[in-house]
Parts: sequence; structure tokens; C-alpha cells
Amino acid sequence: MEGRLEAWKIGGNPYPSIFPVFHFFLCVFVIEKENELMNQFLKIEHTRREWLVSALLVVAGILLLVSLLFPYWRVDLQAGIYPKGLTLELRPYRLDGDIKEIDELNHYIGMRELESAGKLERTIAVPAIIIAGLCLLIAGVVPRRWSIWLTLPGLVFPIIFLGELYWWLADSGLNLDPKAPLNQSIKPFIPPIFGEGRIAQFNAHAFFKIGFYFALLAAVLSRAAFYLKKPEWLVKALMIDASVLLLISLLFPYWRVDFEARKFPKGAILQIRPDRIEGNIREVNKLNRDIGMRDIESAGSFERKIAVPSIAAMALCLLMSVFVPRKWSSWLALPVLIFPIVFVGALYWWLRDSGLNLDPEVALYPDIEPFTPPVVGTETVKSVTTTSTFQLGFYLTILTSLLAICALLLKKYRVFHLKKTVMGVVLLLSLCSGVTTLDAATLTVDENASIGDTVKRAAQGDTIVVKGGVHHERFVVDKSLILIGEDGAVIDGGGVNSVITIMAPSVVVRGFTIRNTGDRLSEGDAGIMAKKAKGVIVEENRFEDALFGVQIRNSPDSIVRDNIFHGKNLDVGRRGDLIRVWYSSGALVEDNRVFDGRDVVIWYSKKIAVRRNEVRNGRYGIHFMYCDDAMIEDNRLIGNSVGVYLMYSYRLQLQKNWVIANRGASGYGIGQKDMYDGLIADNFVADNRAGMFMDNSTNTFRNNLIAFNDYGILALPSARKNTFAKNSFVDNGEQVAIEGQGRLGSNQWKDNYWSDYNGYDADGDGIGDMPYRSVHLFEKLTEQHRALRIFTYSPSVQALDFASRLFPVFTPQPKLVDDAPRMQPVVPNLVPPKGQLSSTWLLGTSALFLSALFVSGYLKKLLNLLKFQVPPSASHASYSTQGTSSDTQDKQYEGESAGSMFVRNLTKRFGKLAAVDQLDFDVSAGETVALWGPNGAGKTTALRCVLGILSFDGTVTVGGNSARTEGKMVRQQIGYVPQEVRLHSDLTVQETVSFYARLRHVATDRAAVLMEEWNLAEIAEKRVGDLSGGMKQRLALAIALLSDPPILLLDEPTSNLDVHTRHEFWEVLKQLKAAGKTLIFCSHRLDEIFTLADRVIVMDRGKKVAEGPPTHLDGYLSRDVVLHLSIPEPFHEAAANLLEQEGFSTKCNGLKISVQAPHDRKVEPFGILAKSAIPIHDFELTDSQDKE
Amino acid sequence: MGKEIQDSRRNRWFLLFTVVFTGLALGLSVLGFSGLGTFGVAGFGRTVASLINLVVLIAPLMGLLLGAISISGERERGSLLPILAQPVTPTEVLLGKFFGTAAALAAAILFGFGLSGFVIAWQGGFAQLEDYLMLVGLTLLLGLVHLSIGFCVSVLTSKSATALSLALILWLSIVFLSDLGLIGTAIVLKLSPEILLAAVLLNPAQVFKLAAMQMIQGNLELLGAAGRYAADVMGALLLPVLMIFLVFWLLIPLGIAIYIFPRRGVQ
Repeated sequence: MEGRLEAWKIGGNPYPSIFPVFHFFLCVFVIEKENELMNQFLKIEHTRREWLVSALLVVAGILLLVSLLFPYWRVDLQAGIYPKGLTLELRPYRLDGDIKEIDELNHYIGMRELESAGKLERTIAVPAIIIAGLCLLIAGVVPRRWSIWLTLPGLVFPIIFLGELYWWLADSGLNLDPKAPLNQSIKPFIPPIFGEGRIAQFNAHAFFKIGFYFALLAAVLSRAAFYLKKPEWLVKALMIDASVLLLISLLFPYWRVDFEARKFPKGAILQIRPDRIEGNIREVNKLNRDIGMRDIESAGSFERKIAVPSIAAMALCLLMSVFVPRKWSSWLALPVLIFPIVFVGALYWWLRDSGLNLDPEVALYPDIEPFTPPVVGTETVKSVTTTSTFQLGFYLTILTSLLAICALLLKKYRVFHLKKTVMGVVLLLSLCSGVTTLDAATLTVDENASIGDTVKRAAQGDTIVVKGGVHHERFVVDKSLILIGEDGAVIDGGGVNSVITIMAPSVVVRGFTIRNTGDRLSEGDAGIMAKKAKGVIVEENRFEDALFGVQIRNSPDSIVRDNIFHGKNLDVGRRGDLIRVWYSSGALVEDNRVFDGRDVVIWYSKKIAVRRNEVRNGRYGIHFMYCDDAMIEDNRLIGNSVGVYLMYSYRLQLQKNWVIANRGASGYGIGQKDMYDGLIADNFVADNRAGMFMDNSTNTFRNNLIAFNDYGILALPSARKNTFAKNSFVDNGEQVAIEGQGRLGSNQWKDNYWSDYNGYDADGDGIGDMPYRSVHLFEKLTEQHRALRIFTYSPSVQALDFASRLFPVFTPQPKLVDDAPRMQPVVPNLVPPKGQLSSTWLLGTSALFLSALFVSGYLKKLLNLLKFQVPPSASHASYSTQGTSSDTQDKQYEGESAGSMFVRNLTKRFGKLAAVDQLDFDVSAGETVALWGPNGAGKTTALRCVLGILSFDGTVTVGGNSARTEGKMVRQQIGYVPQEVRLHSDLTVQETVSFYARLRHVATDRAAVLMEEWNLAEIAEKRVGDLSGGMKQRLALAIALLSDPPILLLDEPTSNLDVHTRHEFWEVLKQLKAAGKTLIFCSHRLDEIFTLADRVIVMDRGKKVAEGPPTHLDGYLSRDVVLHLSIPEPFHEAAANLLEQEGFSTKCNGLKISVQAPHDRKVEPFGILAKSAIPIHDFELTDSQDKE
Repeated sequence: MGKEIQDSRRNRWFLLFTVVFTGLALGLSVLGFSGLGTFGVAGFGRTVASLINLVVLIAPLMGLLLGAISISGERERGSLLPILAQPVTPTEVLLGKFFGTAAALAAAILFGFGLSGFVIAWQGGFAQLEDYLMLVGLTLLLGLVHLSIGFCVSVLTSKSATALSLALILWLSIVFLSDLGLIGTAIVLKLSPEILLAAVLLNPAQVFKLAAMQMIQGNLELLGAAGRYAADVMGALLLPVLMIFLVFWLLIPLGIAIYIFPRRGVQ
């Protein structure tokens, strides 16, 4: 190994030599000196003192009461299986934190449950504290002689709390249950009350919280009040306090060393109390052995044995020094005064003795020179850095010492050399705090200098600090150096090769941005390439535009920690692996964030730990091969092609990882091939193509949440003897799928939750009462016919599965059976991310809403869009408000004037039936023509052909436009009133008119005028469906006249109207006729024809049979009539017989007899019946075409 | 141009379908994301899958029914005649009605997706918004395709009852029967993936499903051999080709309707 050990560099630390001497002389000086300042203190004005006492006590009382709101004490545990750590928080009245988990751990080592201890104390804590607080308040508010004694509860409370806590901790730690699973490997211990310590195999860090400090402050204030109130008690009180403090100091560590060593990435600590040593003793001994130092326990064992009795004795002596009024008794305080000095001296002696007497035979590094480890300060030897500090316990002894000094001054000599004492204390403190800095060899590289050159210049073990700037260089580190980037130092590789190549062990690279590597995959161009460099540490760097980020090759025990990686902007196949660990056992990869790389590769490395990393948008989140005994924990593998692919390894622990949305080509969340004896637990595997993929592996799966994947588990039949317990399979497309044929029979399924389980739990034990069977016909089919998978996510598939359940004959064999399915999912101990309102989503969604609103209220816009479809000529031809019909006369209708019509050979066939056959007629402008004929004569069909809404043969032109090819122009000139007005009944009159107005391009004011004219305005808001027949007809006519067209086509316009309305309607038509409109109407009413028509075209079976003015067509227009005769019922039969004998056809219809008679014989039935004396009470005459 | 009328009638259909679709979509996203609440992470893929399933079921039904009753209903009520008697061409009437109905359909779909989107947004928007919007777009297209088929049916039938029955039969065929038939055929005849794919592409609902999955997941791996085959053969063109299929499905029935409508007129 290159680079032999450097000697320990001893920092210049004057403390050990000067402080004890100073302290000793101070003590002697104080005891020997005398003065009378005590009297001055007693002379402080009485009322002011009272006031001050009250204030102090009130504040103290409030503080004590307020302290109830806060926690008092807390301990953090670091256990391997809980990377985030566990926490226990203590309030006087309850325990908070991860009690369940800690109890679980405690159970293993045989400790009692947390809640079992101190139950009574917790119950009475609140009233006790309130009483103590109230006592303080009363003492403050009621200043009596006796009231000062009410401060006692408040004063002793923190001490009692401490004592209780200590007792409780010691009691738990020392009385382990011998039957516990791990009892053999755990020795009884006392958990730490303050500072670092170990609880069984876990590191613990205990400290007081604000609540306790409040209580403590309350005690101090109440004590101060006591001093002021009872100056005569001052000396004794100070001594009591001092001795109590000395005893309390036993609860706390006195001194501590922190070790930073590559061997122990988490660090190691050593803590010394008067009576014992604690911390990572084994680890520290290992380090010591490397340099030939003795084991720690070997030193000072005698001192530790006598420490507790000695300290107790000293405390007693201290009390005696004031309570035993002898001349010599002051000297009893001396041991306490010099105790800190003795402690430091002993410590120094012990350290020196260990450091100077190294055993070169044992040492790994035999060339190390003897040295004295420091009592306080930081030292580095080789890769081991130690930081030594005094701890609370020691400071308490100093406080004890100072209090005792004050008491002695006051007691024996009634002296209070205020100025001198204060100066002495200040001097003392300044000396104590005189922490010396390490005389390390540190080289600084500024913005413009070259790091590479500095590396060449530097000596083994030096630190190089790079201060900012962009350094365009690549360099090789061939000696053990610490490289630290500060102020955003950037190393730019210029797109060629690797940027930093490390060829020496124990190199540290920290705090740089390293960017722009080469892009040769074959060479593995990397940001940092470590080759055969044991114990390299790469931390807190940022890698940008890196092909490979960090390559750790043949470099065991290396650490890649807390870095951020961004890969090159290439196709994923052409990117490199941002972290690649290769033949480097014992490496640690933690807290990194890796984006846009290819894989994180962990190959050929045993006992490796990969934890708390986040890998996104790569190919393989973690690609893991030939790594036994590894731990992959608490990583976030999100949005890669594959989450983690595990191969050819034994005893892996894969825990608490989030494997989410890995949906690449294979899209496995956790893929396993030839993995054995591993534990895969507490993972959250969601939204992957296949949550787990298993090929030829045997592992235990526990407590995993496998949700929302296309396949929960995709297994080859070679996956055998796996155990699945307490997992939750939630809403996976296919919970368990088998690739290829076969069954998963040899695997065990028990106690899992299945979201598609449809059993019940009658006995309420949380376990379903019938087994879960994975049975899906479609899944079974796809196993045999894989092409059928194309139907996945089709409703038909669900229909199929449903049908298969209904008809058991189709039900396939279950893929697996879970005999004890859980009713509720087991959710691993995960912290769910807070669902925060996503603003992009909110925007996007709002856009959807807006478009929904837009589309639903789209009318105007879309209408405008569609308007262009109306040819301009049509809008010119608009007979709308602006123009009267006379305007249209100017239009060029190729010889035909507007309002005229020309029909030749009009033939319309429906199948074989000719509804209109060779019909010819002309209509000139302003003429009123009627089409006359019985039902089925073809009148309506002819009209529709004229309108151009039926296809036909022959020629029809209206105003010069062909109805067949220019239907739209034709309809522009025609207003049409159908026989039966069928408008949209759910629209109002207003809406109907507006709608048609828009269709005819009529301005709305014209429509409004028209509505007024036609008396429609008053019913504007009525629904069309609610109108009477007359009003409907009126509305239809109004609509037909909207654009003031020259021609009106009316199909049986009055057939549905009563007499009165009919006559009204005729009046309107007459007015229109007078206004010069061309009217063409079908009718079978003679009166209508005679009232309106200028000319009649008589039709029968589609053909025109006659044409002329109505008066000339009498023969054609005659037709049967129907007489409805009201005859008493008894005469019905006789009447019918008589009439039928005379050639009339009759029909009996309730009270009436209907008699059909030719037009010219309609009086005859009356004569016939009169002759036979058959009474006729009433009659009615209708046209034979009229509807009943 | 009959969309003015549509405007009113739309209210009813709009309401019905909006309620149905929104309810279902919302329920799905809430359910899909209730997983989030419980477990901490989105099953967006899963939710989208369920959404695809829902859309395949509902959007064709909406489109077919709305389309089927559009012309035949008017014809049956006789309200078509007064419109055709106005100075508009039958094609204009048909297109107007189509656009009007399409707007109603679109509004229903947008509303449903919009509300579901709020749920997703509320949960932190764990997924790609673009994916979601693409799914919305694709759903609109699927709805329009079936609307167009529905119009074709409607133009061909005189009674709305007939049209509705036909539409339902078509819906059953498109969504269930053709798939089931194909599954059976594939099993019996051992159809190769390519033939199966070709057969599947004849079904607009399946085309939609393929397009949606391709859009959102970027591949058709999940669909097995036939899916992979489609991806292999068409590569980057897959999505455009699927879209073209859908557009064809939109245009051809509509074209047929436009051809037939003036010839049938009001009958």
C-alpha cells in the first residue's frame, strides 16, 4: 500500500498543562483571602430585593407550568433495519415516537416494554408539576417568611426527573429478560441519559428537550430567589447545591472522543464516565490495534472502580464543610475543588501512557511514532480523525467547584471579592475554551490555479481546498489526499476521457461539480474513476453531463455518498452507468440522486450497502449481480426501464424501497434471476409493468405492497419455493401471471391481501373465511395463446371472466391458492408524500373545463364558422327585412320572374308506385293555384318535389332556379306550410322563430316585427308543444313568411282547424294574395278552393286530370259527402237497411249513422227516412275526405 | 345546421351523458387515487388503464346512441320536414346536426375528464398532464367515430326505435361480441399475431385502445405478441397509423350518411 502512515500531528493544546495549575492556585487563593463584601450584599435594599424575589418566582412558576407543553427528553436510535432511525420522546405524562418499533427491538434483546416503566410517575406528573408551579407562583405573589419554602418542589423537580429517568433507564437496561431471542449476545447496559451511547446493538443519541430546560430554568430562578430572600442561608444553600450537582454529574459522561475512520463509515465514539467507558469500544479497540495501542479498558480500571464512592464522599465532605462548624472544616471542600483537576490529570496520564507505549509487534502500521493523544481537540492519524471534547458531567464538576468556592468565600471569611472572582471566572472560561486548531497541511487552489499541479505538489495526506472557479482539466490522484471543493468549484473534463482518476487509497473528493466527461462507453469515461483505490470517499459532489458518474473498480470499502448525478443527453443505450461499483466489497452507496443515466451497476461486490438513493429515468435503477450478503434499503427507483434487477446472489436484503413506474421494454419493478435466500420486505412496488419478475429464484417476500402494476408478479414456472406472506396485492392488472405454461404450486402464499378477493370474514379475525383463488379465464387463455393479450383492458375480457364465474364449467384451475387471505392490506411503514395541488394539472384541467363550457355554449362561434357555407348569392337573394318582394323582381331568373313556377313531366316514384306521374303546370307570379284531388293523388309529393326536398324526374324551376340542382335557391323563394305542423315542441315560440330566422338569414328585428304582426309576441315564451292547432298553423305561416318569400306553398293548410280558425286563416291568405304573393296550396275542401284559388289543378293517382278556374271544373270538383244523422238507437237498423236499399253506404257510429252520399244526392236520405217516419234529431255534413 | 334545435335537445342528452360519464370517470380517478391516499403513490398507469376501459365502454355507446336518434328521431317526429324546407342543403343540415351533437358529446367528455382531472390535480398530479390530455383527445375522436357510425344508422332508418336497437347491437358488437368472436376464432384457428392484429384493427374501439396505450405507455408490450408485432412493423408510424384508422372510421360512415341523406330526404 502506498503512502505510509503519517505521524499524529499534535495540535498545540495548552489546556491540559495550564488549566489544572491555574485552577489549583485559584482555589488556594480563594480560601486564603478575606474581605467584607458579604455585608454589602446584605445591604441591598430590602423592598427591591422582595420585588426581585417575587418576579423571579412568578417567572419560575410560569416556566414550570409551560414546560408541561413541551417534551422533556428524547432519544434517537439508529438501527440498521430502520435507516430513518427511531425516536422516543418523553413528556412527564406520556411517551411519544416509534414506541411500537422500539418495543419490537426491545423484545428481541429482552428489555421490558417502554410503557411498563414509570406508569405511576406519568399518572401523577401533571398534577405534581401543576402543584409545584402553583407553589412557585404563590411564593412569588404571597411574600411571607414561610412562603420561600414553597420553592422547594420546583427546585427539586428537575433533580427528581433526572433521577427517575436514570433509574428507569438503568432498570430497563440492567434487567434483561434471559429468555429473549438475542439475550445471549447482549450484555446488560445502561442506556444513555444524555449524549451518545448504545442500546444493545443500536447507536443512541439522547438529549434533553425544551421542556426540561424550562423546568431547569425554573429551578435555577427559584434558587436565585431563595438566595436573595434568605441571604443567611446562602452559604449552606450553595454548598447543598454544589454537592447535589456533583452527584448529578455522575449521570452524565465526562469526556468523549469521536472517531472518523474509513473502516467505520458511520463513525465511532468513545465516552468516558467516572465509573465506566462506553461507546463503540470494539471498533475503537480495532483502530487502536492497528497502531499498536492497548485496549481501552485496560487503562484506569482502578480509578473507575473507586470513582462513585469517592465522588459520593466528596459530596458529603462538601456538606460537612459548612454544616460542621469547625475551624478546619473548610478544608473538607478541597477535594471537590480540585476534583476536575484530578480528573483531567488522570485522563491526560492515561492517554499519554497509551500513546507513548505502542506495541510495534501488534501494529498494522509498525512505523508509527509514539504520541500523546489530546485531551481536547482534533487530531488525525492516517485516515483516522479524532475529536475530543469534555462533556456535561465534567462541566458540572467545574460548576460544583465554582459554587463551592463562592460558598467558602461567603462562609469562612464573609468575603466576596466580586471583581477578582469575576475576572478569575472569565479568565478560567477563556482558558477552557481555548480550543486549538489542527495544524493540518492544507493547500488552497484559487480560481485560476490548476488542481492537477497542486495534486502533484501535495504530500501524502494533505488536504487540497479548491476555492471556486471552473477548472478545465483532468488529473490523476496518485496519493492519499483530501480534495475539497468550495464556493461552487467546477472541474470540466472538456468532453474527453475521465475527469478525475484515483489511483491511491483513502482519497476523498468532496463538494465539486464535475462535468463534461468523454463519451466512450468502451473506455468507461467517468466523472471519477477509482481504480484499485481502497477506501475512496466520493461525497457531496454534483456530476453533470457525465457518461459514467463514479466508477469504483477494485476499490473495496469505498463510499459514494450524497452526490447528484445527471447523465448525458443521449439515447438510454448510449449512456453510461452513473454509479458503477465493480469488485469492491464492503462499499457503501448512499443518499445519492441519479438522473438520466443508464444503470446503477453493483457487480461482484460482497457485503455492500445501497441505501437511500434515488434513481430516475434510467435503464436499470439498480443492476445487481454476484453480490452476496448485500443490503439494498430505502431507495427510490422511479421511472426507469427496470427498477432493480437482481441476479446470481445469495442472502440479499431488499427492504423499504419504492419501486415505481418502471415501464421500459421489460418493465420489471423488482426482477430476480437465480437469487436465493434473500428477504424482500416492506417494499412499495407500484405502477410497473410487472411488479416482481421471478426466474429461478427462491426468496422470502414479506410485507410488500404490490399495487397498480400491469402484473403484480410475473413468474416463470422455474420460480419455486418462494414464500409470500403478509404482502398486499392491490389492483394489479393481473395479480400473478405465469410466463409460459405451468403453475406456481411449489410457492407458498399465506396471509396476503388480495384486492380481488371476494370472500368474507364472518369471525372478524381479519382473515377471510374462504381461500383466495386466483382464477381468471382470460388469463388462463393468454397463457396458452399469448397473442390474445392484445385484448387486455377490453371490456370483453371482463365479460369473459364474469361469464366464466357464472358457468363453472369454464372456470379454469386456480393459478394459486392463498388459504388465509387478509381482509385489509398491510401497508409497509412508509411515509406517503403529501398530495399537493399540482398547478400544471390545475391549469390543464381548467382548460378542459373551459373547452367543455366553450363547446356547450359554442352556438355563435360555430354558426359564424358555418355561415360561409351559405353561398353569397343566396344571401343576396334574401327576401328579408330590407327588401320587399318588389326588390326581388330585379333578380335575374333567366326569363322567369320571381314568384313564378314551371313544372314539366314531374314524376316521382316510390318503388313501383308513381306518386306523381308526368305532371305539367305553370304558375305565374301573384297567382293562387290549388292542387285538388283525393288522398293519394300526389299533391303533397308534388309540393315536396317543387321544394326540392325529394328527388324526382322531370323539370321543376322556381323563379328560374332548378329545384333539383338549385334546391337551396328554390327554397329561398318559397315559404312552406306543411299539412301537419311538426315543429320542435320543446322550443318556445321565440326560440323557434329565431331558429328559423337564422336558417333563412333574417335579421332578428324582422323576426320580432313579424311576431308582433302575427300576435305571436304574447305567447313568445310558450313552448310550441303547448300551442293550439290554430296557433301552430299561425306560427308555421309566420315562419314561412319570415324572409318575405314571393311564393307560399301550403299543404292542406286548414285541414286541422276548426271552422272559426279556418275562416281567420283564409282571411290572412287573402291578404297575402292581395299583397301579390304567389300561393300554391293543396286542398280537398271546395269552400277553400272557391274562396282562394284563381286556378285549380285536379289530380288523381299522380296525374293531372283537369285544370282551370274553379267555376269551370264543377264536374271534377264534385265528390261524395258524409251525412252524420242523429237517429234514436232503436231505428238504427231500419234506417241503415232502408238507405242501403237505395244505394247509400252506411256506417253505424254510436248515436249517429254516417251515410256516404254523392255530391248531388245528399238530400235524398232525409226524404227516404221521413217516408218511413224515422225521426232525425240532428245532422252534420262533412266532406268524405275530412277526418272524423 | 340543425344544431340550433340540437342546442335544446342537447341539454337533455348533455346532462345524461355528462352525468354518467363524469360520475364514472370521477369514481375511477377517486378510486384509483384512493390508493394514493392510503399508500402514498399514484397508480396513474392503473387509473389510466381503467379510464381506457371505461372510455371504450361508454364513449362508443354515447356516440352511437346520440347519432342514432339524431336524424331518425327528427324524421319520426316530422320536424325534419320544416328544416329541410328552408334554404339549406341536406348536407348542411346533416353536418349541422353532426357538429351540434358532436359538440354535446365533446362537452360531456371534456366535463367528465375535467372533473377527474381536478381529482388528480388535487392529489398532486402524479402523472404526465400531456398523457392525460392526449387521452382526452383520443376519447373525443373515439366518440366522434361512433357518432358518425350512429349518424349513418340514423340516416338509414325511419324510426328512432329501430335506430336505437341497431345502435345497441352495433355497440355490443364493437365492444363485446367482435372481441369475443375473435378470441374464440383465435383459439380455434390458432390465428397468428399478425392476422389477429389485422382483425383487431377493424374494430375502432380496439384501435382506440391500442392508440391510447401506445400514447401513454409508449409501447404495446402489455398486449403481448400482437402488440409487439404492431410496434415492430409500424415502429414510429404506429400511432399515426392508428390515428388514421380512427379518422377513416370517422369519415367513412359520415360520408355514407352524407351520400344517403339527400336521397332519402324526409322519408
